[in-house]
Amino acid sequence: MDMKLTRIFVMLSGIVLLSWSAANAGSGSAKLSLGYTYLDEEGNLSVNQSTFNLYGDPTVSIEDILYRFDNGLRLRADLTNIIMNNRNLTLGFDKAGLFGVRMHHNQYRRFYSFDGSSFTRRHRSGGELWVRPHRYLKFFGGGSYVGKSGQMVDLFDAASTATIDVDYTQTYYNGGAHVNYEGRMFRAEFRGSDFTNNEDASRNQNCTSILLTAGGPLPKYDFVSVLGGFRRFATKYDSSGLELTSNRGWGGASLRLPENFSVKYSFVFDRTGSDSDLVKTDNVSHAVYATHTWPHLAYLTAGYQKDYNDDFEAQVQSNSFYFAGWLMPIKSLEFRAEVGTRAEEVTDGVRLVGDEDHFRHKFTAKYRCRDNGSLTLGVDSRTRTNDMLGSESEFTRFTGQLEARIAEYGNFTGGYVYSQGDFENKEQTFEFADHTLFGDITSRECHNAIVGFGATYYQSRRDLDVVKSSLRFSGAYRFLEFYHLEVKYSVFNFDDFLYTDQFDEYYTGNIVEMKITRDISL
Amino acid sequence: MGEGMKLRYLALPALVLLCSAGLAYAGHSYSKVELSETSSMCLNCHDEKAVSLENSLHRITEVTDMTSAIAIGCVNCHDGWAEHVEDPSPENIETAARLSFSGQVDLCSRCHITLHQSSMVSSDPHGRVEIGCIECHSVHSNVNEHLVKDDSDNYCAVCHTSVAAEFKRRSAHPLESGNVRCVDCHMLDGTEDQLLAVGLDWRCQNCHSDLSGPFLYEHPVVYAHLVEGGGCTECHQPHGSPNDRLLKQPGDGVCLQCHGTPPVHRIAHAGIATRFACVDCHSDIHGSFDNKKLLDPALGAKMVFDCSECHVLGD
Repeated sequence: MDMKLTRIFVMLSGIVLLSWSAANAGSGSAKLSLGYTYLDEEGNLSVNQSTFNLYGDPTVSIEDILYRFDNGLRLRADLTNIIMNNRNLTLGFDKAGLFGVRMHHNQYRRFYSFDGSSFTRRHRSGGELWVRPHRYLKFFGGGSYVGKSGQMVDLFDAASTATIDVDYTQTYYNGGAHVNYEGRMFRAEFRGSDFTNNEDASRNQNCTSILLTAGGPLPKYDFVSVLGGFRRFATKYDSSGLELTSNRGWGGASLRLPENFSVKYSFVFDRTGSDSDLVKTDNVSHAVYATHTWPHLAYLTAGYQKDYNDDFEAQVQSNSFYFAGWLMPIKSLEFRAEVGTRAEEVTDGVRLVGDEDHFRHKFTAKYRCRDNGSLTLGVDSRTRTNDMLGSESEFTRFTGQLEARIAEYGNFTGGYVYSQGDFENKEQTFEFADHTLFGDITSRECHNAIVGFGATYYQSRRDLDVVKSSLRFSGAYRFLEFYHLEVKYSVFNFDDFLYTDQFDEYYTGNIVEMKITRDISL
Repeated sequence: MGEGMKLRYLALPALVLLCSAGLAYAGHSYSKVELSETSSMCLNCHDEKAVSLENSLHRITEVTDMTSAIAIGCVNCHDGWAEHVEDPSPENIETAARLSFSGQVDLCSRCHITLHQSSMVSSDPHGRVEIGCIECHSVHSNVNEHLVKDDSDNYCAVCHTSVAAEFKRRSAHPLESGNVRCVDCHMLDGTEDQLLAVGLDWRCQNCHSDLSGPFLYEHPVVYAHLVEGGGCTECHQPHGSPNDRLLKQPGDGVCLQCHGTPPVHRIAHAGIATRFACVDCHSDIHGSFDNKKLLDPALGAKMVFDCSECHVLGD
């Protein structure tokens, strides 16, 4: 099935290109590459390894295909790893203001067991089309087909020999119309999906949704813009008729006032119901923001949101406040800050998690040097407190990132992130502290050659003891005008030092990827 | 409680929607001939700009091209061309880079009135902090889809550096391998408010329908609509986690966020239930068709004794 799709893709690319080339003069380019991937892996393949989608086989790719016909038609395609199971193919054909077609197909697998014997493979194929018969009207539609099959193992037990079979397909399709009239828009869309579980037919279900949206400035008051819509969503099991439905109305308005002031308002009303157990929920949300801008110097916004959540057991009201702003004292220096709070109160009835408070803040400073890169520093934090459950969770994160460009030597991008999380539950606590260090250096081209080096180091400590790292060495050489040789050597390592039995969680991978590419003129 | 929702909360929103009806024209447009003539004037001095648009969907429309519904010319985007022709100073011609956030929105919305574009004005967090169109998109010398400056899967990482680092954790969604993209989940279409958390959590269902329900016996947290961090993200960290399967806490930690260990688990059968992870028995944790306690329907066969011989596992 998959190879068939690949053949169809490649044939379609060729047919489209050849037939249109014959009919219309034009020009284009592409990159044809042949390569080989060498894999040497040991240890727990598991779902966590970054190399999950690499195969040790020859590779063929035709990438960056761009062909423009003299009449403005344009063909774009990327056919990566055509003959392999990790193929990723896209093909598009369009003309500005008239139509566009795009098709895609890709697939990947995930391992679940220590030795890789249990894995699932997912593939997705689909396409989209849009046609604009009139400058104010656009029709669009598309569909995709997703399949997943294979075997998984129990959670928390990589050594388990008991497997769970997975085999399902999903089909998506959508279509609609978009009317765009001098600053106003109306859009109507239908979406549907069918889920077929080949292991258990009683899980087969279909889902439909209808979306209507309209917006634009108000007549005679063009400083007021409004946007609103409606969505109906329904998902239903084929065999039992069990159904979940959701109806949502939403909208917003933006008022541009004199002196660079503006006010924005938005709302959501959502009613979700099901004939299954424990589900019937209404939600209403209103949010209003007021902002003031000092052009090219500063910006400040303050917001308030009120939410009502009403389900089968309780009504919950939430009050949220939000403040944000930026300041650019000089053009190359930018400070940004955000603070948000949310307090949820059970006003009627009882819910399992009771009242809850949330608080978050974020601060970043960025220095940009037009020719030489940028430096970003940031801190953000989120806290959730629940007195009834006796639980509190807190995340804090510090970030630093440097991008440096020095014309004589090359580019460097690197960063460090420290994040920590503390969970306090009634019976148990959990803490982690993560260090993530990453960097990539690429030299400038010298004697037709570019070399690069990259590294990532991730460590999680406190209640965990995990190290995950990778080193990447790369080299590229351009020769005979149209050819490139690229070689990349990567080392991956993963250790979970808390596991000490025979199935201790370790992984080592040595991977060499080589490819030779020829630039093609079409 | 569901019937008790007060409809008065809807009065104001309904009014806003009613006001949006009967929209009228208030803009300026050029004929294909006008666009072609003015563009020819521009290209007398700026022919490299035409070349930079050759392979783009913003390619300047030829006057002989009768097929395109929309004609594109320099003056669609660059206001002030008449003055600029008289006095060709850079200050006399408008460019997006010199415009404020709302100026950029005005400019691009002459043609692009999409959900994404409209939401930038109303509820999108990028718009709220004045991040305009040209922060992510560029027009000249760009053939990427949607004219994003960089069509790599993790382009958003340019600003969201700390989030990007989450994808390097122990378990992560496959962003770095290119199998998912930021916009697969973060649909910038104006129907969600990320920072103040308005939105049903159907994003996960797009790929994980097998876990989405509806189930005969629901795990209510899966349907915790409109609660910050609610739904799937109550237990999972979608970008990446220090734990397996994107879980926020290892082992029973996620369960103990809301549940205590029932006393009977400590007493019955010498406390056997406390020696397993919760999900070893409550394996249908997303929802069950078999029993209200979300227990594995085949639990009896797995254990050394069959629970169902003494206990009723169903509703």
